[in-house]
Formats: sequence, structure tokens, C-alpha cells
Amino acid sequence: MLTNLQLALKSLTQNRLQASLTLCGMSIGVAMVVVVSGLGLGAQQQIETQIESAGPTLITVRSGNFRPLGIAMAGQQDSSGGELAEGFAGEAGYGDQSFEENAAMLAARQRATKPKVSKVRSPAWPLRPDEMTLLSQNIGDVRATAGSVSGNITLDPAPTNPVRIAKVYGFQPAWPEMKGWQLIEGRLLTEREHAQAASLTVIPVEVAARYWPGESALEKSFALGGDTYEIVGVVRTGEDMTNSLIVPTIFIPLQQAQDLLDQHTFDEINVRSASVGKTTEVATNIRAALRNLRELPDDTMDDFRVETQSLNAMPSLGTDPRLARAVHANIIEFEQASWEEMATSLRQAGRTFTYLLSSAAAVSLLVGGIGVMNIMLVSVTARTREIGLRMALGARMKDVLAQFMVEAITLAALGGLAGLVLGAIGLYIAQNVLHWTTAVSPVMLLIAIVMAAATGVIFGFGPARRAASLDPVVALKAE
Amino acid sequence: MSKPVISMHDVKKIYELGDNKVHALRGVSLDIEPGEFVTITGASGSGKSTLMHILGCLDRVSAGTFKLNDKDVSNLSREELANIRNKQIGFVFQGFNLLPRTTATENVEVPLLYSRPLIPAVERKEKALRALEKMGLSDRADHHPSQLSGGQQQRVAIARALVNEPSLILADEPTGNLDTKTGQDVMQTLLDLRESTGITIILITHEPEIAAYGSRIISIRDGLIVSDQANTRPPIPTESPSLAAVP
Ligand SMILES: Nc1ncnc2c1ncn2[C@@H]1O[C@H](COP(=O)(O)OP(=O)(O)OP(=O)(O)O)[C@@H](O)[C@H]1O
Ligand SMILES: [Mg+2]
Repeated sequence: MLTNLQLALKSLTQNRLQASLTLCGMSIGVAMVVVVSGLGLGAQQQIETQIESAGPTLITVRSGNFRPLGIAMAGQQDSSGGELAEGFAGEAGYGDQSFEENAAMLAARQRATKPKVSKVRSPAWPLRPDEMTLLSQNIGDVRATAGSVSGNITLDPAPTNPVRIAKVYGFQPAWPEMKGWQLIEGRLLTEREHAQAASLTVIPVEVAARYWPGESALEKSFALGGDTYEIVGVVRTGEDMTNSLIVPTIFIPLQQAQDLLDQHTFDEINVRSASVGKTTEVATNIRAALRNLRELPDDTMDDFRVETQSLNAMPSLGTDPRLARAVHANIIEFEQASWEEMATSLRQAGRTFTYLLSSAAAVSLLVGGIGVMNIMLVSVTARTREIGLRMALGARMKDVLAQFMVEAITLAALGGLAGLVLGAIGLYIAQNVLHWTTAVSPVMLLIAIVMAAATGVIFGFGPARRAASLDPVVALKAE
Repeated sequence: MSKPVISMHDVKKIYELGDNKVHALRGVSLDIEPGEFVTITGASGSGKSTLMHILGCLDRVSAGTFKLNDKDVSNLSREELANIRNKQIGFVFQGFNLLPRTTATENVEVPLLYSRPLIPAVERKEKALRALEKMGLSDRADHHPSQLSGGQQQRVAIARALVNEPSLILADEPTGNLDTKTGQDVMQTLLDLRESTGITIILITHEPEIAAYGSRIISIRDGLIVSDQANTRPPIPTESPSLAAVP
């Protein structure tokens, strides 16, 4: 084997020009494979990240089953009223909430010395701590959870307070990321500050602009519950805050809010699924688990809502926002299904792109292979006498076959190596000069090399077999 | 009497060219004992090379039997024939047939590459150098054929034929490409070789002077042996009258 390799290298160096031309052809073929696979993979990865980043991995679980945008499925809406009335006998439904809140605020104002909690609760069972535990620990493919609770609270009488009543909004560390908060000024709260229930707050930019116009809200504070909550950050929440300026919203650690409101439950829990593909499954599992925990009979509607995030995602991929809104307002399965259709067609497009490029690469590899075949045929013809001599000296058919196969494979593999280098340069240019997205996978590189060697085998076999099956007498007479 | 190296009986070789049949050998019977130095002569086209190809297991007989070292080789596979050529026969050709751009040593090593069991590289090299030494070419071991004279090239070829210690050397017109003097040197080399090793040599030539070196001379014509006689007076090795003696 080693001697065959030496022989092959020797014979290649003896046909230097031909060999290097063939090498060129071969390496261009392999370089094409490398570049094309790099580009194709890059495109596919880009599509994947687009799908991942824009796609719905966020699942929102809310107590109550009203539909915020009013486009609800018939039947579902109807049943909610009856359902709620049953669950909260004597309490008002959603429609009365604002009134109920105002009444509570009035009551609170009368006893302004202590923070008082507005008595209004979600018109359905709030989400309990054990349900939070269920979501964060017992459902598979959940990457993160974050809960929130909010309520109006009367502030301590302090001259620094710009208002008398504020809406405290307790949140957990993952919340800002899930809600897509944008930091305008200062910072968010650290995990530690959340865990220690630090007396710090983050406020919406609208609130900052309203109460501290023309100056920074940082280091200003709210006094409530006997503590001073320093403002450390100003954020844009992406939600419409104009309606909550009279009673400004302030974000504080969940623990603090729960204590202040004396409500150790959640209004809303956000769940991040491990990947886009898992979102439907996770949402379905959450719904089933909650129904199970709440022991809801089969013929009863949910008294909670599980929704996926697509309102934001869909328009970013070019869908008509109205469609997105309609989809959003509709059932989760539809939302998810249309999302997945879109993702599927995007992936399909990426794959088609890769296939198209790959076939071009395959053609150039084929051309390289034909080059190998050509040089091998020439080599066999030119060396017929040598083959005859070797046979006379005892070379068996398989020895001759091996000699020429090793030569063809060596040629192809050398071309392959050169092609790898060439391909790497090509990818580098594509990435850094043309700014295309590329991705290099070691598997692809291996495949390119193996393909090069396979080309040698396939295209070398014909000429090698021709050499091996020569009649020694005829070969010896050749000139 | 020891067993003959070659034992042929009524060997025929017919080439079929379409409807045409060429009878290259028409019934050759021949026994050659170990240690004989047989020269075969004949006109061009008489069938000398055809006979030699059969003797060398490069070709098969069309009819008749051929035993090499008491073994019938007419029904062996290509692979078995290759092994026999490798182990038992050393070829010397008219055109030397050395691999170009390859050193003398490497050329001599070629038969060893195909020997089974495998011979390690170091041992191959040793054997090749020993064979070259026997041919008086130790100082040319690393030379390429293009750097050697015709006579030296043919001696490298003889070294290659010897390297695997065969029982038979087959030479087809080994002096055909050499001038008279060099041809005589090569013949002398073969004579010495036979003297020292007792190897059997079969040599084809159309020159009577070269044929005269044999201990037995066979002539063939039209595919048949027409004469086969012992040569009782092989030429005294011509230590050719020293050139210095010539005024
Ligand atoms: N492969 C072949 N196909 C057909 N006919 C052949 C073939 N090889 C040899 N012959 C014929 O067989 C006959 C003997 O040829 P061979 O080569 O043995 O002659 P030769 O005695 O070696 O002649 P020379 O001295 O010219 O080398 C010739 O008539 C030749 O034409
Ligand atoms: Mg001849």
C-alpha cells in the first residue's frame, strides 16, 4: 500500500503538468462544494435564527378568559360569563373591573396612612404559586418562566412622591426579556436584587417623561410601604402606557409587590419554550396541566388563557398586521398552525436554495472527476508497456488495479485538499467582503473530502480496470 | 537425471484474426534440463517470441501440454501464472524495459514488490543491491537508466531477472539493441552467471554468433523445430585481442 502510494506520487510528479491541471479541475469542484455548502448552510441557519427569534416561543398564561381584542370565538365568550359567575359568586365580571378599581382607590385614599390593596382581583382564579411551580418545573421544554402581579396602591405621604396612587407591577428577572422591554436609561434589576426583594424600581419612559420632564428620573424615588424605592432604570415596554399616566405604573421586584398587595398569586405568567417547534406542544401541555390541576370538567371552558406570541412576530415577517391580529385573537392552534406553515415554507425555500447550489457544485465535481478519468486513461495508455513489464515481473491484476486506483484517489484527494483551501478562501471572501452569511460545518468538510476521494474511486476505476485486464503479451509489445 | 525445467509436448499456438488463423506454433515438443543454456534461432516471424511467451507463462498454449518444473501450467489462473512468473522466471528483454526516472536499485526491486509473502522494504533493498553487485554495478545503484550505457542497462535488467532467485531466465533478443562488443559482454555475463549459479537460460536471437554461446542450439521455422543440437564448442570467451596490442 505504502509502495503504491509512493508509486502514485512518483508517477504524478512525472506527469507534472497534466497532474496539476487535473488537480486544478478537481480542486475547483471541491471548492465549489465547500463554498456552496457554506452558503447554503449559512442561509438555512439565518432562516432558522429568523424563525427562532421572530417565532413564537413565548407563551402567556393569564387568569381569566376574556379576549383583550374583542375578536373571540363564538361560544367561548358566552361560556366565560357563566363560568366566572360560578367561580366568583357575587363578584363582578371583567366589564366592571375599572369601576371596581376606582371604588377601591377611593376607599384607599380615605385611609391614606397605610398602603392598602385594591380589592379587585382577576375575574377568575388567579394563578397560584403551585401553578407557577408546575409551569416552571413540571412541563418539559420550558426554558424560562416569569410571573407578574399588579395592583394599585396608595403611596406614603412623602414630598418626593409625584403622585398619591401608583400601580405597582411586580415582575421576575426574565420578564423584561420576555416582554421585549427596551432600556432607555439606567439599568434593570439584577437577579440578586430580585431575590433579595430590593427596594428599587424601574419605570416606563412615559411615566418618567410625565413626572420628571426635561430631567433624568434616575435616583428619584417613590415612598411606599415604609420604604423608599429608588428609580434605577427607565424602560420602553412596548405597551400603550398613555392610559396609565394618572396612576403611574412602577415596576418593582415580584416579592415586594406581592407583599405590598398582600396577594401571593400571579396575574400573568410568561413561559419561554425551548424552541419554536416546541411551542405548540408546551402550550398544549400547560393548558392540560392547568385544567387538570384546577379539576375542570371536560364540558367546562378554561378559566385561564394560554396564548402564544405572534402579534409581534408575524408583521416582522411581512404578514399583514391585520391578519396577525386576527390570528392572535383566535385560537392558539390556528395561530400556531399558520406560524408553522410559514416557518415550513421558509425552511423549504432555504432547502431549495441549497439544493440548487449543490447541484451546481455536483456538476463541477463531475467535471473534476472527468478530468481525473482523462488523465488516468492517458496514463494507462502511455504506460501500457510498463504495465506489461510489471505483469511479466509478477504483478497480479489486483496489483495493477491497486496501483492505478491509488494514483487516481491520490490525485483526487490532493485536489480535494487544495479545494478545501480554495473553498475556505472563497467562504472567507463571501463572509467578509460580500457580507453573505456563511456557516462551515466540519461534517461538510469531511463530506467534501470523501466526495473527492469517491470521485477518484469512481472515475479512476474504469482506467485502472482497463490497465489490469491488459494482456501481458500485448502490453509488452506496445510502444 | 533431475526433472526437466521445461517439458513441452506438441504445443500449438493459433492466433485467430477474424476468419484468418495464424499458426504461430505448429507442434513444438521440447525438454530442457536444469542448467542448460539454450539458444533459439530462427527467421523473423518463425515463432520465437511466441514460444518464449508460452515458456514465460505470459501466454497459454492453444493445444498440447506444457510443464514448468514438472507442473502443468496450461490451466492455471492469471493470478497463479503471475505468481509463477514472479518466483520462477526472470525476463530479459531486447529493449531493456527499465522504468524511466527510477534508480537502478528501484528497478531491480520491482519483482520483489509483487512477492508474497511481502518482503520488507529494507530486505528488498538489500537483495536488489546484492543482485546489482553480482552484475558489477554497485557504483551505479542510484543511477537512472538514462544515466547508464546500453550494456549497463541490460545488466540492470539481468539483475532484476535474478533478484527473486528464479530457476529460469528467459531472454528475448537481449543483445538486439547493443553493439557487437557490448552484446558479447552481456553474453559473457550470462555465461558466468550460469557457471556460478547453475541457472537455466533460454535465449532467443537471430544472430548465429550469439546463438553460438549456447550449450544447445535450437532453430525453428514456421512454428516448428527444425534442428536441435548440443553445441560442443561454445565460443571461448573473447577476451578480445587487447586494443593496446594493435599498433
Ligand atoms: N498477437 C498476434 N496475433 C496474430 N498473429 C500473431 C500475434 N503475435 C504473433 N503473431 C504471428 O505469429 C507469428 C510468429 O510471431 P513471433 O512474434 O513469434 O515471431 P518471431 O520469431 O519472434 O519474429 P521476430 O524475430 O521478428 O521477433 C508471426 O507470423 C506473427 O505474425
Ligand atoms: Mg520476436
